[in-house]
Amino acid sequence: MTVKEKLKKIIIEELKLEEITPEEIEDDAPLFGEGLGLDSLDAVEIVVLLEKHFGVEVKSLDEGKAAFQCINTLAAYIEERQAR
Amino acid sequence: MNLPEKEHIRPLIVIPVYNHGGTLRDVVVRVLDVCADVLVVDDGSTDVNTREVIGGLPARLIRYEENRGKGEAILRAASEAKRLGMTHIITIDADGQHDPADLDRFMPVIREDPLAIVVGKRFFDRTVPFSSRFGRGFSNFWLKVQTGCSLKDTQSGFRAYPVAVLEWLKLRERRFSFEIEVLVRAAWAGIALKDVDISVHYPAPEARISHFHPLMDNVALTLLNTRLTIRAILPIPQRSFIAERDGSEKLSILHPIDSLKGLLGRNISPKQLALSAGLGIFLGSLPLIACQTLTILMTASYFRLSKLAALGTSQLCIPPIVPALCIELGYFVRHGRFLTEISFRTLGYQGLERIFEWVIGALILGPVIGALTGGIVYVTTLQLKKTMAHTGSRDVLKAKDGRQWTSRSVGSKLQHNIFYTIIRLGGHKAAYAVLNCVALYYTLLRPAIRKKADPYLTRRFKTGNPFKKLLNAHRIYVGLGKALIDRATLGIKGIEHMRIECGDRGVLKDLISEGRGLVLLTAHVGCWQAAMSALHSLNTPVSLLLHREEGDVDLHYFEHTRGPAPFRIIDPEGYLGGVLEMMNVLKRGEVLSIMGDRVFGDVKSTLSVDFLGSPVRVPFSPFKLGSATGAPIAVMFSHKSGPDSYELTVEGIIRVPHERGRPEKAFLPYAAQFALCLESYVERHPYQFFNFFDMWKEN
Repeated sequence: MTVKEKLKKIIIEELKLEEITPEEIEDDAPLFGEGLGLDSLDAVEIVVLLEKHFGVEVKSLDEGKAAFQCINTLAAYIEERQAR
Repeated sequence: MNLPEKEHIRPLIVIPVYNHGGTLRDVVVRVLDVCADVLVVDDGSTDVNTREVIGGLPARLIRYEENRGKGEAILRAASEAKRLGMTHIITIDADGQHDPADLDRFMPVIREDPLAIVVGKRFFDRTVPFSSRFGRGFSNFWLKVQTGCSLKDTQSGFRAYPVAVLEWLKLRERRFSFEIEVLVRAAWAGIALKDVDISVHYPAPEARISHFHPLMDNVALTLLNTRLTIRAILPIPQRSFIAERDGSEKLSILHPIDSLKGLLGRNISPKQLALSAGLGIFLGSLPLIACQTLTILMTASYFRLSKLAALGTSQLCIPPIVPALCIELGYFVRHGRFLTEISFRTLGYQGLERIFEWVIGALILGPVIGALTGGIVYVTTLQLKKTMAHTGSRDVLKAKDGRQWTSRSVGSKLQHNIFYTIIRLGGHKAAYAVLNCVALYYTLLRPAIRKKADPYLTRRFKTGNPFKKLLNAHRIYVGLGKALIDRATLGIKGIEHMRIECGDRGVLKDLISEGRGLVLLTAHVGCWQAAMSALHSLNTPVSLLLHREEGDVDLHYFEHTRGPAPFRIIDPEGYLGGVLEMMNVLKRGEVLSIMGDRVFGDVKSTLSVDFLGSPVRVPFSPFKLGSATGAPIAVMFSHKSGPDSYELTVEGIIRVPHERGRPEKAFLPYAAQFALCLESYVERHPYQFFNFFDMWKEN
């Protein structure tokens, strides 16, 4: 399973997005606002799940801003941090 | 209300007639030559059968069986004109003294200002009887006194009225005096009065039929003039047609300050105010015993100056200083030396002498101090106007945009600076003294602001007694004012000037030592700046979720703090509502302070809980953050415990277990716990709750 696939599966589980399947999440659709339609409180869950499932901590706001764009950027962020 | 557009002027020519059967047909025929829409209102004529007189002519006729007065006839014509979709009525007398060809002279003036009342000015030559000329001048004079507006022929019956204006004005007169009253009330309402030259044909005296009753109508006119003059000099603003039409501001006796502000903003220039002030001083210095106020009011009215400003400054001339100076000066002019003997002889027996000297002195001194005062007023108002232009639009309580809550200040920057200066010079207790007056002003004279506290006060006190309500509002505004003064004092003079006690410091330290951070859940109560100032003793960095907007009173604290603020600020309008930063604060084991009674962003992130008996919406992000990070939540409020002290108390500790996903309901019990803490707080400190956003309003 690639990082992207795992990420989508976990996001759906953790955020209880019941009406959507991993395949339906587009890699480059925005996570917040339009696109997946998550809100700032879902961001709280994403921070938690990144730590729990990937061992990645979002340390700064700038990192978070860059990473939280879409599945692509989030997966790239995870891979980059895990490689360190 | 249908208002005439410049392009669509549709006048109805109205001929009110009462026993002018001899000239009527001729007038109607000549009017029809110029205009097709003619209405004859027969006000109960008994001389001829009007229907027969104008028979065969394409004019409309309304007939009253009994005489009701010219005013009644004109108003009836106006409602008929409205029904016909006309914008104006132009009245012309039935006695043949007006030339209908002059109707063409009215049209350009009406087009220029479709809301103006246009009055035909008759050219009077020597053949016109003196009594008529005198009557006209007299009547013009009163109009000027009562309204400050000039018309050259206030008695002319050849006039154009906008239908909308006649419909809007509240008029009481129905007979001859109607034509005076309508002009005065229209001028008061801000309607322009305009002259247009017309020709006049005065029939030979023996052929004239006048229905002017010398005794009855003169009595009626005198009574009307008295009434209108009294109303004119009352320093109470009039209803304004223009403002009401725009719905922008209403003038009302019940809101004198708002009305005055409106008046100031709209009509009065710094120059006029300065002239009014100078006039007040000058007239105030004269010994106009027993009729000073009246003279000032009438003179100010005549010159269209501010009556309030003139009256206000004239108060500076009350005895003894200014009259004494005037008498001394007058005495010096007459005798070459000053009056040194103050005795019954010099002031009593020679009283008339002194009054004469007073007049002389006042004539010299009055203009000087009048000019001086005027100059000061001019400079001040110019300055004030600049400040008003700067801050006026920032008045919170008028903010009608989508913002749900704002703590922007209600006073101007100038007013705040006055308070800061008082604090610097006299300390916060001196500022409290001034505050009592300011709070009284807001509670008594600014109902719009007073009502801001109503949603809370009605639920907290449940009293129907209007006096108690007023008292409660006053107390809560005094409370708020003290909190504002205290926070400024903390900033200006340093935190050592307030004693901030925190008996629960140990509790907070224990919570922090758990190492998962601490959420401090606060509310708009007491003085949170005082609370924050005390937290530095925890030796843990504090971050604050706070939206900074321009003019926010919360900011005033920061303006004064020397050096860096003792806490960091996270903007809830920042990226993802600041949650990434908040998470990091907690993960570092630090303190995060959030207002639990203030909703940011959309309704989606709020929960409905009961507070003081009905549901309010509170944010659930604090509980979500606590749940996600495992940080304990301490509900902490501050209250003013004495003139120089605040007390911080931990009202409850909320631990939210880790919840997966997004079910909002899971957080409901914790939000309800917070609401209970707040309820218990307002039970103990009812006048320290300052969330003036209507929390209970349905979203």
